[in-house]
Amino acid sequence: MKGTYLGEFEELVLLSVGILSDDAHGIAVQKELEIQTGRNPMISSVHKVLVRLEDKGYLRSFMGGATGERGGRRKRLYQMTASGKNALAHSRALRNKMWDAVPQIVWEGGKG
Amino acid sequence: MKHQTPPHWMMKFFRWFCREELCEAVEGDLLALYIERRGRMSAFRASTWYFINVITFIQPFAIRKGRLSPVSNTSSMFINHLKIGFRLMAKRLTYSSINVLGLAIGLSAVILIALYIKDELSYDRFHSKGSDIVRVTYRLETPNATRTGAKLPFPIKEVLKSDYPEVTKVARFYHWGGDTPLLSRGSEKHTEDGLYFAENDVFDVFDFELVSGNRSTLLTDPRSIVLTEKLAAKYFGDQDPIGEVVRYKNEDNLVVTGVLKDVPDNSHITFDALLPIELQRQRWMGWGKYTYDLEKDWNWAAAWVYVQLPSAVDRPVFEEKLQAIADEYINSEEQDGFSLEIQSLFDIHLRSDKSAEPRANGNLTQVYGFGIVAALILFIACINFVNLTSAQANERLKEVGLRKIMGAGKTHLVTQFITEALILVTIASLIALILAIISLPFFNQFMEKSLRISIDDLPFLALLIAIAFGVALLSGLRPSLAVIRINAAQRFNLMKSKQRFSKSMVIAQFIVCNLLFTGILVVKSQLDFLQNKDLGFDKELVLILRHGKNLSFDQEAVFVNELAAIPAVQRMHRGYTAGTKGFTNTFKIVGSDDDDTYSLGIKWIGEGFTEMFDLNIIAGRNFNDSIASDLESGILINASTAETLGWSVEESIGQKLSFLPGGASEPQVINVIGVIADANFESLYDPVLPSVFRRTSSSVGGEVSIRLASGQDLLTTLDKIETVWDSVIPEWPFEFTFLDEQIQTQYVKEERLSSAIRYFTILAILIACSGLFGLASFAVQQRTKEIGVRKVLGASISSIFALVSRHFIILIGVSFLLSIPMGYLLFTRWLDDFAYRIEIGPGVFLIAGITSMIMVIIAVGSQSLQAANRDPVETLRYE
Repeated sequence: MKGTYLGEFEELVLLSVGILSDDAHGIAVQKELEIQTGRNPMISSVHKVLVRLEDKGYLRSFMGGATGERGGRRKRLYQMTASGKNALAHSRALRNKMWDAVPQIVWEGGKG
Repeated sequence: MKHQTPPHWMMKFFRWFCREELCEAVEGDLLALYIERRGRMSAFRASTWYFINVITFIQPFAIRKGRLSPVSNTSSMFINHLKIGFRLMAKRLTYSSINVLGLAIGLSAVILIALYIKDELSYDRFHSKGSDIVRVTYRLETPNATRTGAKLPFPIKEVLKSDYPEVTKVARFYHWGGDTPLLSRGSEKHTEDGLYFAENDVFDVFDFELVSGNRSTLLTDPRSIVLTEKLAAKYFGDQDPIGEVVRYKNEDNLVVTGVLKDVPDNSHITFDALLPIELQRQRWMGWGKYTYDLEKDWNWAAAWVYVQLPSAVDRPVFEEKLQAIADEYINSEEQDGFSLEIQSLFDIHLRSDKSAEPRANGNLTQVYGFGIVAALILFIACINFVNLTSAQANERLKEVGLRKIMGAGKTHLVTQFITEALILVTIASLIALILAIISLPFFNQFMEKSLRISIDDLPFLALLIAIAFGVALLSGLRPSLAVIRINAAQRFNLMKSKQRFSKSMVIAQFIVCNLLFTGILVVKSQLDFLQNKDLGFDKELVLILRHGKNLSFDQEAVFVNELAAIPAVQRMHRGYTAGTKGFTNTFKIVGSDDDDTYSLGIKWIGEGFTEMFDLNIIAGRNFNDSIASDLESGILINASTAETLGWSVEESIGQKLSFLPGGASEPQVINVIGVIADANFESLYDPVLPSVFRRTSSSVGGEVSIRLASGQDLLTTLDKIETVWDSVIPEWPFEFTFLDEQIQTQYVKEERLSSAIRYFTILAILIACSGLFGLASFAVQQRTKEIGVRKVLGASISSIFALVSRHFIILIGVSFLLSIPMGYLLFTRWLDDFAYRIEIGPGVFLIAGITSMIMVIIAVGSQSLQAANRDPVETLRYE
């Protein structure tokens, strides 16, 4: 249980990598996060989380192709690993379980 | 596509600290961001963002092992030092802020001055072939004077091209300040002082940037004109001017063939529009009617001539070879002192001081002056910093002792002191940058410059900050080394030696202050002296008409008549106007045994010249219109001429001079009929020019000046004159200047620079005083208990005041005495350059000395008084 803990931002980054599937690199993830959440994280925080997620084994990475708009630098492309998928699934299941545990009255009761 | 990558050092820095496996990918991301931002914002802002991004990667996850992350113990000690440093700052807020602000203000002043100097040094560097371009100039030696000038006759170009194979290209500019260059299009009708004549080669040799038009045929047609963007907007608004027509001097229609970017401020020659030299040539030839050809006139030095020389050509040898031109075309048996010289394009702005420069040049002395002031400010600010920092260190003996007991080594202590100094310097540098950015617009306005801080200045700012950090190191190192060697027995000796050090620093500081202070007093009184000096003629209430030359003889008669009806108009004069530069020529004394020649000014005056400017005839008589020979060959001379020629005022009447008028083949003989008192018409930087005054024949035009009566309403008078002007000569606009204003403009630049230096000097003095204030309050603090004890034993307030202030006042006294001889030597040398100069009396030194003494007494005295007034119960309570 302890090893699979995912912070909120980590979870969002992991999901972005999933959304981008075969073109998930730092700046693309940053853009995706901006589109999805409206937040604009620093590029350094994105990379920091990517590195951490890779350390945890949720992501793996390899060097991709170079393009002109990157000054000829190659991209580091990220892919979700099986345990990454697991962690996401786990996190979602946990949430669902807790959602279900909230009594109906709380949702309907208003000011009660 | 310049700046498509961020500055190199930023990228290098990133690669240096970033972990290898991340480096390439992250850098790619950063570059992508940079390129995307570059599309939206300036290079400076995009680079700043890039740098911010780089900084945010300084985190453990991205840092390479061993880079930026010191061994953990050191890093936690570092954090501890920072903490202690900040606490100390907060505890001694007054000193810390004096310390930091002093350094910050000093640094920001230095930044501004450095920007100014950098701009002065950047003149003409934007021409890519600049290092190959030389300007040909002349030197004329006569037995009495040497003259150098920037302009040469037009035909020199053909000779340079045909006889000198090493010359790649020759390009000429021409501009005559006395002209009335009217440009009109529809209702837009203005006198454009920025109209210059040039030729196509100009665009090959120089890099003036073209916006539209064909670079190779811009000035090929004699009836063409090339506008700068500024003039294009003035006459055409948003319309495309290419192919459109503007009218020149109400006479010629010129087709716009190109638009240039405005000439950069840092160019020694600036213009608003270029016209073909061929146009001027054709106008004077009446488009084929007359024979005068300026391209064949060797007597008229009018063009600035630039030569592009391959760098392989040996310049001195080339200069030597040019002498052949002077000998063949210009020198005669009468006069053989004419020689040609060359100067590098880059030397023109700061090192050239010839007559007829395209625009007022910079002044190397002034640049040095500013540089010295900047260095002195930096010096004073740094001494302040070192002094204040070391003074504080004395207080920390207990802390150092404790740290030693806990096992701190030498390096630890030194690092600690240096870290603390670094904190202060970092804050000071940041404040300095902000201050400089805020004050830059005001500085620009004041200096009439358009300086700005750009990304290219980063290395230079970095250098400045490096100096500041050097200072921090020094100021941290000194006290720390002193403090850590201390043991109880040595303690008092050491403090003594340290005080000696501080003392000499204070003396040095105040010598500098006194010198600066004396300097501004001397410069100010010299300039005041120049401006208030009696010029010898009456310059008040004289109106000079800009287009007066264009009055025809008939129009003049009507104009004079109508003017006479205006009550405020006292008299009118047509001819040489005071305050302008006239011509000079070479004269010989008729009947003299030797063959000496004299270079004298020659001024063509009209009827009523002496009355107009209130000049006295001190011998002989004025021109008399009824004597025919007066108009033909009579001259007035000024007293200086008589002196130059070796005559007394009385014996000069009736003497004869001969000279060769421009364009004539036979010398003309003229007779002296009167002598007028000396008046300095040209410039007070030079002595009165020995001159002869001739009467213009009435058919020759000249400048029109009008004397107004005092006490009349100026605006209505001007209105009336304008109405008369418009009725007599409607095709030329009514434009005028006042004589006294025109003369005043000579000094504006000097005045502005001297007041800029003045403000910076005051700044330096304030910084020094604030430092002294800090030192004094520190001294008082250290002696709180001593003062308490003295008071208990019956010391009076005044004796305590004296106790504290005494040694500061001695220091200032010593520096005052030392500064006198230095200042005297320095400023006498500066004054020697002036034709009219003040003498340095003891007054300036006394004023400077007394003022600095007063400032010191205020700074130190307030502290001493506070100490003297404190209740001893309070100060002795804790012991």
